[in-house]
Parts: sequence; C-alpha cells; structure tokens
Amino acid sequence: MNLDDGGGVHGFLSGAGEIGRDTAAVPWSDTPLGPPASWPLTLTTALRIMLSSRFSMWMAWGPELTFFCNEAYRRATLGKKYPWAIGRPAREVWKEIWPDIGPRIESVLRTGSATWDDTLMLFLERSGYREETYHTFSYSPLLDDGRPKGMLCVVTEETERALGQRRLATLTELSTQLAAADTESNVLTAVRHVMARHDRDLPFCAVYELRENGDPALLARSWSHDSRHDPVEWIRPYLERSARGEEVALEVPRGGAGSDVPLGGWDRPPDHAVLVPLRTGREGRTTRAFLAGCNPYRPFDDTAVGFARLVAESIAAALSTARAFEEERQRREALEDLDRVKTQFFANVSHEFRTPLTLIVGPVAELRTGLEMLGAEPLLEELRTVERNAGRLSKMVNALLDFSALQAERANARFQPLPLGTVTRELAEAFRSAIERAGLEFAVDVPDLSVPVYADPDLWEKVVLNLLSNALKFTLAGRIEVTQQLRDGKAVLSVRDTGVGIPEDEQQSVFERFHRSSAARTRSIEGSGIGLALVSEIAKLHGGTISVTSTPDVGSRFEVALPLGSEHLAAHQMDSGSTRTAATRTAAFITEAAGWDRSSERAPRPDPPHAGVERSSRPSQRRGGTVMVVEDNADMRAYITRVLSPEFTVRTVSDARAALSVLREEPIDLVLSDLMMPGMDGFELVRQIRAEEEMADLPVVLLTAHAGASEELRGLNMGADDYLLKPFKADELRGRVAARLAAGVERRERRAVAALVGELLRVRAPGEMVRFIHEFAADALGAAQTTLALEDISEARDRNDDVRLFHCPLQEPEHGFPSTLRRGSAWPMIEPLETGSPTVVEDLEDLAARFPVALAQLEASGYDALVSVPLVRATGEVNGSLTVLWEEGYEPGEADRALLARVAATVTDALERLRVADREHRLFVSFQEQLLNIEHRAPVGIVAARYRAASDLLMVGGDWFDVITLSESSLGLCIGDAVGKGIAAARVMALLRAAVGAAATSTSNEPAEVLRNVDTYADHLPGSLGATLGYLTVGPDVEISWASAGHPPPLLLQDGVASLLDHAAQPPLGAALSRDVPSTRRRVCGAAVVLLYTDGLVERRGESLEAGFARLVESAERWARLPVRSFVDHVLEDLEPAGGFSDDVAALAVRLPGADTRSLALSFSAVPANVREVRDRLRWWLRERCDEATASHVLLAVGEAVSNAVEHGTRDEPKGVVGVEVNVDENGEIVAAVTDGGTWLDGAETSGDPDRGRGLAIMRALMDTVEIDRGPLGSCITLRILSPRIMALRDEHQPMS
Amino acid sequence: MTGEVDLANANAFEDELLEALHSAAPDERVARFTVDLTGVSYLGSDGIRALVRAHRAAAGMGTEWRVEPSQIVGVALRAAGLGQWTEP
Repeated sequence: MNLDDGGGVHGFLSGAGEIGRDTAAVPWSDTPLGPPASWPLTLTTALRIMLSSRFSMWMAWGPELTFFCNEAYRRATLGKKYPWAIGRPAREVWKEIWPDIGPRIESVLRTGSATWDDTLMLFLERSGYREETYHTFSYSPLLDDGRPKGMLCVVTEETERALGQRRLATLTELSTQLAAADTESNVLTAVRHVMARHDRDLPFCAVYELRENGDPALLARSWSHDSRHDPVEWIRPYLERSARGEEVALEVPRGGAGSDVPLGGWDRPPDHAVLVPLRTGREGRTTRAFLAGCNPYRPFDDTAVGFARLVAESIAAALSTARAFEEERQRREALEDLDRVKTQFFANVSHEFRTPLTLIVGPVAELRTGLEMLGAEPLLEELRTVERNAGRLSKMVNALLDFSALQAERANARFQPLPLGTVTRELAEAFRSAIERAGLEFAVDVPDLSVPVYADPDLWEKVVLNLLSNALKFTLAGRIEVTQQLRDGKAVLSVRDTGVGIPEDEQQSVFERFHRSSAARTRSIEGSGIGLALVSEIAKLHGGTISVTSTPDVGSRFEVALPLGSEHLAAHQMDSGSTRTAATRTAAFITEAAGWDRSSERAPRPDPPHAGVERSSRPSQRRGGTVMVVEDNADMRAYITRVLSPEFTVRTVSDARAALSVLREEPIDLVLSDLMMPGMDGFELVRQIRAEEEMADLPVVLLTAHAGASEELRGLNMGADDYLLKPFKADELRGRVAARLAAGVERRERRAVAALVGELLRVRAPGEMVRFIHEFAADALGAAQTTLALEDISEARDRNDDVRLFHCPLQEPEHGFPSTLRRGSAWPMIEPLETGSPTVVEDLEDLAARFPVALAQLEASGYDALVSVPLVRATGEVNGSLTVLWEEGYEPGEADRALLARVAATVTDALERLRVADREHRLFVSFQEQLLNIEHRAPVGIVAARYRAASDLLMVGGDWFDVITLSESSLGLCIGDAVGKGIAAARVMALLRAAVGAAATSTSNEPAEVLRNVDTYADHLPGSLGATLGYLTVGPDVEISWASAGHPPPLLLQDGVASLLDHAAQPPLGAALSRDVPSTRRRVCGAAVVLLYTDGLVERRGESLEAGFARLVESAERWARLPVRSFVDHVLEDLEPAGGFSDDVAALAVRLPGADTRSLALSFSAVPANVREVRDRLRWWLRERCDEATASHVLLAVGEAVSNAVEHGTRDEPKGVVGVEVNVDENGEIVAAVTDGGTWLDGAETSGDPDRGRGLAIMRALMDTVEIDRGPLGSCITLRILSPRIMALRDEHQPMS
Repeated sequence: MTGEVDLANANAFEDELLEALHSAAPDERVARFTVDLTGVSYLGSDGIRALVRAHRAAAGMGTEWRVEPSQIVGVALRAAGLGQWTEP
C-alpha cells in the first residue's frame, strides 16, 4: 500500500482490498465529507490504520457520523448491510441499536473520553431479523484540531461465548439439581425450577408422557401459572413420531392455538420449537418427550436444536437413573422380605425338630425311671440306649440348626452384660458328675470376674458345653481343667485336657465345619464335627477369637477370648434383660456325656439345674398350677420335680419351716410334702397350714411310706386332702396332683363367686358393680381389666342404640376405653349383644382381624386377650356383656370362660334388681313431679322452680316447694324438707304442703303465724318430726317476709349483690317448742331475686356449711343478670359437685317486679290492655341504658314476645300471668325473657295464615338469639342481643307480601 | 298515623289504611300511595300484617306503595324484610 501518494487516499483505498475499493466507490462528493482528497489528515490516517488492521473496527466521521469499516468488521458484524452502509450516516446504518450506541457515541464526541462495554447485549438486524448479540467494544474519539470530529470503534463479537456460557450455566445447574433428585417426581420438579429460571435459550419447556390412546400427560412445565397455554393442541400431530423416537422441529403457531404462548425471558414468543423424545435406553416405544420453544432472537439452527437436545438428554438420563433407583429400592425390599421369610422358616423348622425330640427324651426318661423302680434291668439297657441316642440326635439337631441360623445371619444374638464367672462356673459344674464318673479329675477355677462381659447367654452356653463335651470325648484318662480369667483386656476361657491331642497339621482345620480328627481315639465315634466350628463362629460373632494348642497324646488346650466392653458389638443387638434358663439344652449334653462312659451301671442322675427353677412372674401362670415340694431327700426332690415340671410350675424346699415361709410369700396352689422330715414333720406342717385362714383352701398332699393305715388317717384328720404311697409311679403322682389342684381351684372359685354375689346384692349402680366384679376377676382369673357393657337400663325411655360401658380400672376420658358405643359397632364387648354367644379373642392378631377398630386401644393398654360373655335376661334378651381383658402372655382357656359365664349369671341377677329399683324410683319421681306442680295467678313476680333428685339414690326424697297465690298483689312461697326417703316421706311431704297452703290462705299470711299453725298440725303427723320448713311472702311494695323452722336462709340478690337473709334460727317441726320468734321482714329493691332452696344444695361431705353458703353467694352474683329461670339453672350447675348431688335439691326463686341498674322485671295479667303499659315501661328503662337503635330492637322484639304471650300463651289459662325480665350484663349483652303459662306456638302452625308467623321471624331478625323453651309449666322465650354492635338485619328473612 | 300500633288496634289500623287507599281515587288510578308513619312509636307484627294487606290491595290497583317511617318503624319494617317500602 502506498501511503505517500498525494491523490493518495484514492490510492490507498484502491489498494486496500475489496473494502477499500468499495469505500472508494462511494460518491463522496454527495456527502458532507466531500471528495476524499479533501479529507483531513486525521481522517485518512485513521482510515488507513483501520483498513489495515485485522481487528474488527468501524469509524464514524463528520457531522453525519459517516460510516466506515474494515474487512474484519464487515465479515463479523455488518452482514447484509454491506456495502450499502459505507458512507451512510451511522445512525442509519445501526438504526436498530441507535438508542443503545447513540448516547455512547455522543458522549465520546462531547467529552472526548472513550467508552468501554463488555459483552453488551444488542439486538442487531444484520441478517434480516432481530438477533440477540453480544459485543465487547470501545468507542474512542478521533480529534481534528484538538476537537473530536469522529469516533473509532474497536469491537469484538462475543455472542458465541456469551450464549455458550449461558447454555453451560443452564446445563450445569440442571445437572446439579438432577443429580440430587432420586425419584421421578423430584426430577420433574428440578426440571421445572431450573428451566423456569433459564428461560432465554429455551423460553418454555415441558415434559410429556406419551400415551397409546388419547392425550399426553403433562408431567412438568417451565412456565408459570399465569399463562394457561397448553401446547398439546399444536403438538398433537407430531406425538406419534415422537413416540417412535423421532426428533421433530415445529413451528409455533400464531393466534388460535398459539395465542398466549409463554414468552419466557423475552418479549415475544418463540417461532420454533423442538420435540425431543426422552429415550431411557430401553427398546420399544418412547414414553416421554421433551418440548422446548427456542429463542426467537437466535436463528433456529443446529446449535439451537442441539442445545434443546442436550437438555433433553440430561432429563432423560436423570429419569432413567431415578427409575433405576426406584427399582433398586424395590429389589432391596423384596430381598429383605425374602430374608425375613427365610429366617421365619428356620425358626419354625427348628421348633419342628425339637418338639418330637423333646417328646422322645421326656417320656423315655420317665420310662427308664419307672423301670429302675421295678428293677427291670434288661429292659433298662434298651431304654438307656434309646435315651442316649435321642440325646445325641437332639444335640446334633441343635448344633445344626444353630449353625444354620448363624449362617443365615439370623443373628438373634442379644448381647447382655453377664457375670461370666458365675455363668461359666455353673455351666461347667453341670458337667462335673459326668466327668467324674468317667474317672477323670475335674478342676474348675473360674472366679467371679470384676467386670461384666457382654455376650449372648445362650450362645456362651453353647461354647462352654461344646468345649467341655469335646474335652470329655477325647480324654480317656487324666484330668480336665476349666479356667477363666481376664487377660490383656479380654475375658479368656481355657479348657485343658490330658486327652489324645490334635496333630499339628490338623490344628487349624479343627475349627472347620464337618472336620473330624482322623487320628482320634475317642470315647465315641459319633459326632457330626460341627461343635468346634460352631464355637468358632460364636466367638467371632462376639468379636472374639478361639485358639488351640495341642500335643498328640499329651493333651490340648482350647482358649476362647472375648473382648471386654460393648463397643465392638452391634448396637441393635444389645439387650439388658435378665438371663434366660437353658435347662433343656444342658440336660441333653449331660446325658450324652454320661453315656460315653460305658462302665457306669446306672445312668447318672445329675442335679438338673432346674431344681428350684425361677418361676415366671406372670400371673397367668397360676392357671397351670404352682406346686411346692417339701422333701428333705435331694434325689427325691429332683425326681418329683422332673415328673411334675412338664405340667406344673415346681417350687422345692428341703424342710417344713422353709415351706411355711415360702407359703407366706409366694402364691402356691398345692403343697406336696413328705411325712418324715427332720425338724418339723409333715403332720405339723399340715396343722400349721390349716391354722391359717387364708390357706384353709390350700390343697395338701402327703407322701407316706408304707407305715400303715393309721398314718394316713392321721394325716387326713389333720387336714390333708390326699396322700400318696411311696414308691409311687410318675403318672400316679401327676394325676393326684392335677386332681387336687383342680379341686382346690374349684373350691376357691366357688368361694369367690359366693363372695361376689354378696357384694353385688348391696350394689346400687353399674359403676359400683364393675368394681366388685373386677376384684374377683383379677384374683380368680388374673384379669387386668373388666368391662361391663349395658344397654339403657331404664324402661321409661325409648330404646336407643347406645350401650354404656363401665370399666374397672377407671378409664381416662382421652386415652381410655370409650364409655359409650353404638350397638352393632365392631368392638369385642359389643359382639355378644348381637350373637348371644361369648366372644373370645386370643391375641392381638386375632383382634386385628376381627375388631380392627379396637386394636389401637387394646394395644395402647397393653392387653392381648379377652373373653366377653353375654348377659342374658330371663326373657332371653341379651342387653349387656361382661368382658375380662388380660395382659400379654395369657391365653384364655375353657375354665376361664366357664367361670366367667357363672359370674355373668350373677351379674344379670343383680342388674335385674337394679332395674326394678329404677322403675320404682321413676314412679316416685313422677309422683313427686306431680306433687310439685306449681301454679300461680297473681302478677306479683316471676317464679322459677327446679327439683333435682340425688344421683345414685334409688328412693325419692322428701324435698318440696309450693307457690300460693294470696291475693292480687301478694304471693306465698314455701320450701320444705321432710325427713327420710321413699313413700313414707312423700306422704308427709304432701300433707305438710297442703297444711301450709291451707294455713296461708285461711288464717293469716304472716309467715311466723303460718309456721305455728303448721307446727301444731305436724305434732300429730307421724313421720314429720324433724322436717324443716321455710315460708316467705312477697307483698306489695316489694316487701318480703320470712320465717323458717330449721330451714336454711333464703338468698337475696339485689342489683347484682347477693346475701343471705339472716334471721334467728328456729328448730325444725315437731319439736313441740313454742315459736315466739317473729317473721323477718325486709324491703328489697325492685327486680330483686329471692331464692329458696333445700340443704342438699349447699351441703357437701367434708365441708362446712359456711363454705357451701359462700359458694352459693358467689354463684348467684355471677349469674345475676339472667332471667330467673336461667339463673336457677346456672346456680344449680355451679353448685353441683363432680359426682352429682348426694342429696335431693329443691330450688324455688321469684323475681320481684321493678327495676335496678341493670335489671327490669314486670309481671302482669295477660290481657291485651296491659301490653301498652309494659312497652312504655320497657321503653323508659331502655332509654337510659342503651342507644336508640338497640332500644328499638329490644322493644320491638320483646313487644312481639309479649304480644304473643298474651294472645296465645293464655289460651289454656284465661287469667294467666305473663312475666317479662330484661337484664344487661357487664359485657353489654341484653338478655330478655318472657314467660307465660301456656304453649307458645308459631302463629303459622295454628292458623296456616302466613301473616301470623311473622312475629317469630321478626324477633329472629332483630335479636342475636331467640330460644323458646316449652315446658309443662309454661313457656319461656329468651332473646339476646349484644349491644352496641347491632348486626344488619338478616337477608334470609323473605318479605311476605 | 301517630301513636303505637299493636295487636289491640291493628285491625282498626288496617281498616283505616284500606279506606284511605280507596278514597284517594274512587275510580281512577292513583300513581303512588304513601303512608306517613313518622309519628308512630311502635309497630308490632300485627301492624305490619295490616300494612301488608293494604299493600296487597294497592298492588292490585296498580298503585305504588311507600312508607315514611320513624326510626323504630324503619327498624321494624327492615326486620320484616319490607325495607324496600321505605326507599325513595
């Protein structure tokens, strides 16, 4: 390129390649820049630099910012705009991004400072469409004469990098999230979240599940809920191809199905989308597909599709992994199940093996013993052989099964902290007799260890016994030594023998299964070779080791070392429980060992470890029977124990004194005692037993030698139940013991049932009954809970479906058994009511299958079994059941059911008795109710009365009250309490009541006078002595007057303050004392309440009367602002103690007319003329107490009620009394009550005229609540409104027009 | 109408209403009939019944029905679901 040429611009332009030529070809003269020759030096220099640079640059110069660029720029960025752009104003060239770059250029020209932008997003239209691009560029000024005239831009396009980074970020986040998703749903959630955030490259995505017929299911989508767009419409045609595994590129429709397409991160929806099948690596149809819309501002090319594909593959891989995970998990679960089944099988099989073996070993032993007794030596020999081999078989089976069990990792090993010294010593000692009889010395040096060793006791037993039996087997002469000590932090058991030894080459393999020493001279050649392998396994299981040192013909030493502590053991196998017995196993070993010594004549009778066996403490075991054996001869003791222990629990003592102390401490069901014993003999023992009353029923069987009839007789006379002659046969012994046990049980049961019957006779309620029954059941049956279920006992009410349940022990309301159930519900106590037969549930599985509803409750209570028997009346009707529940470990047997059935019969009788008593009670109560029907006709006050019979008493009481109309303006109220209960008291009560009424209305109504008259009368009335009586008059001017004979004082409630009307105490009636005390007179305020009551209200056992009065006063003040009826009810409720009133309670209250600060009471005759005045008074009272709106509501509502009371309420009573009470409580609630003597009817009910029903509807619309209480003594309508909040009148009321 | 309307005088009230209604236009239609109860201090359900009957008659004649209430009459009418009578 020639730089120096004068007309040189042209020159160098022409030499600058195609772009130079094109630049030169622009008609410059038509531009403000003029011909190139006129261009300033800066411009041409810059041009030169730019055109020769291979970095992408463009520049603008001059007033129009005329555009120039170089080849690199043209290729990279200018695109289709070349060559048009050259020479044009820059603003035109980059019109689409001028808002972005214009200001920058402008600032360069203005300030002369360069700009810098890194990866700026610009939407260029260089290829005919709006394109998302990224550029890093700098604009720098070009100066001419020191002033910026143009601008040079150096630019690098970063689009690929930026997009690549963005896509990478998407993929990275997606794969991170997907990696953490281990289930399909988590995968889909991750997809949703990630793709919703990365919504520029793929503005929307969705995952579909393709189905054979019908629409695909949308599994996940990335757009939010405010776009409801469903692509399924426009992708439907392509789904089949997708299912075949084809990738499909789609156009996104516009309008119609394409309306509301999600925009993702842009301002317009994608034009194209791609549907990618999600292959999961299996053959066949693809079931999932991934739909993604592509960035509308990027070309829809392989890059775009490729990215969508990448995303799809990540998702497919994640779904595949999730599914594999799932399958793996299922497989694992299946394996675990299989393992469980296998283990169960092993457990069952071992049981199967052992049972027949036990049944061989046991009877054979007995046969042998029996034969020994008879001295049948040849037969004995045969039998001994059988026995020995059965023992051997047993041992082999045990070893085999244990080994298999260990192998199958049943590992039910439960490691406990054991006193290993004691355990090992006892186990070793069990071998002593066998070893010594074999002519060997046996040394046991096993001291107590100072620390516990964690081991499974059963497994350790196997270790010791196997090692010892091996030692015995392989040692023909010499000694066997057992030592145990702590060494180097381990517990080491060492068994040394002087036996045949093991050759060195075999010493390692001796612990292998099925290895048998070839060179062995042993006592026997049997043996499966399992023993040492088992020991080795067990040692390993405990984290320990086994080793052997041996010299042939000298001897061997086996050592088992267990580490101390428990850290090396699996935590879930730790057990802190107590040792279990291992009696049967040891016996097998010993028998075998003994059999090896052929020189012994008689089979050894070692002291079996189970003499003095630990008895289980479960009460249910009592049913099997516990026999105490008193015998000083050890062999005899052992023999008897062996004979009896299969069937009974055996307790042995060696002398009579010990026997007596055991009897006092432990539950024993039968005593089997020898006669001849040192110290106390059998006779004395019997005598002492019989001397104690509790043991009077204890069966005692004596063992006597053949000493003559007199001895037996003597024994029987002393009180023994039976005797056995020695020597006796095993079955004789068993039979005798069983019979005597049963008889003893029978005797005991009979006695207990009789006692129960006696108790039940005195009982008065089912709750009490169940307590006695449970005492019996707990004692005789070992019951943990007793439940009595009864249908409604009274005949007065209609039969309903509720069954009441009474439990002993008492149940907590939240967690215990329910106290009512419906008949027919699926509970075991209810079933007998339906079937008429007993229901027996033997265990929780049984329960779960038949009564799943009850399972939770029984489990929570720890119960496992139950028997429920029906209670059948004489009529054959079943209306109850008696249920006994047991805790775990007991299986109810035939005997239990029989006993329970007997008890049920007794219970039914008692219930019948209760039923009759209840009927009587009802009669009395209704009689009393009739008697206490009060009427009053004078509009002197508003009266309310309540009678409450005492709970749980079957007889009616003698409380009564009466209201006497004395005149138009005065009223008499009396209250009394006749002494005693029942019909006699009722009679006295009736007569006294009449007497008061007569006295009050005929002579004077001065209370003291009335009382004197009645007293005189009562003097001649039998049964009235001690009756109390109170009489109160209410006169005009709200004056009250009171006199009483021994009756508690009335309560006065005036303007919210309660007090007792004090007066001089007077004695009750019939005392024949003179009564000089005058009446107490008092003026009370308007709207006051006077309450008369009987002492049952305020008296409580164990509490002073003062406390009761205080409670009454407090309660009265609490409920002061209520209509008098509600007032009485609430006060009664407050004063009722938890179990109900223990004595009858009568309450009679009157609200006097008038007004106080918060109450208004009006009483008037029910004639229409009075209604107006009532309203006026009410209006006046309301005006001072609430706002106008509330007052209107109350006035209108009460007005309606009053209107109605007058109209309807007095239909039955021409001259009835209507009472109105209005109270305001401190919360601002107004309670109004209108009472009358008739039946309040809905107007519409009577005449069928809809107009008439309006009143009630209006009241309901005006007031918050409207309650109508219709009783036999009249109706009361109670209205409430909370002021000042007045709710808008309800819309539900339809206008009637 | 002034005073109180309850069961004692409801029938008389109804008669008065009907008479007023008929006398307002013996032969021609009356466009609207307004009952002025601004001076009424109590309106029980019996009084409302009377109004309803009178309203029925008016409706039968094609006459629009309106009531001018006092405060308490307004409450009563709304409680009876007849509040619309009081709207202008």
